[in-house]
Amino acid sequence: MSQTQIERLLDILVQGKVEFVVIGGWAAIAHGSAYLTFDTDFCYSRSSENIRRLCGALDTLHPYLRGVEKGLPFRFDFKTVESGLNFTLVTDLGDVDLLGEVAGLGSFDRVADDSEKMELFGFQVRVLTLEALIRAKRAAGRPKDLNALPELEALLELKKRQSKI
Amino acid sequence: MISDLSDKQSQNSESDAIQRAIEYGVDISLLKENLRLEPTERMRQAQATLDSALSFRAQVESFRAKRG
Repeated sequence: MSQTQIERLLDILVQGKVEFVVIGGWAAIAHGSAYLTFDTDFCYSRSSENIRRLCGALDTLHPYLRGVEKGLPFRFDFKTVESGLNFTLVTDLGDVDLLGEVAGLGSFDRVADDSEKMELFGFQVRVLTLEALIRAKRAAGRPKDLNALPELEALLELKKRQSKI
Repeated sequence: MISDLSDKQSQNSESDAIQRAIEYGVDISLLKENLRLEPTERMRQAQATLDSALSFRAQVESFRAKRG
């Protein structure tokens, strides 16, 4: 079976030894959400070493700023990432959002504390917990985030029931 | 009749969170199906559905472009 886009992205980040947490729509899907997402959101560690690894890992995917005209002198390199924080990118594997901080949760260390290790496609990957996902969606407060809450809260309840069985 | 009563009893016993989701239009049966799968399978299914949606969108755009 050929690798899916999300699998290839995770593969590249894991092989590149990047410290990251899967957040957003794919985290929700990993927890059982039925909503589809068109981008892939990660929270990444802002340590210099990790920024280097992140840039190295994503380099082959030709990351470029999403929604910005082509041809600008943008380079997804150490200097760019170090001087920024959150990046919305288009890559060879679709839209990728990289967040140094997550609303309602904080920086990578806090997000990592609010994550759980899951085996995804054979990789051990950190994924934001359902509880933290709900907190983040509530804090973000945009209509699309608030729309996701009833489903996520129902999932949390269903999981609690499952764990009691 | 018995089936109706059973459904109502079942709904009444749902928690607030699940009841709210049902009223919001969330398909709880889909969530229950997803929870039976491993996380990787959930992601694989979502990716397949997403790929189909993107392919469909591309076909619609192509059709519109040809039509002018």
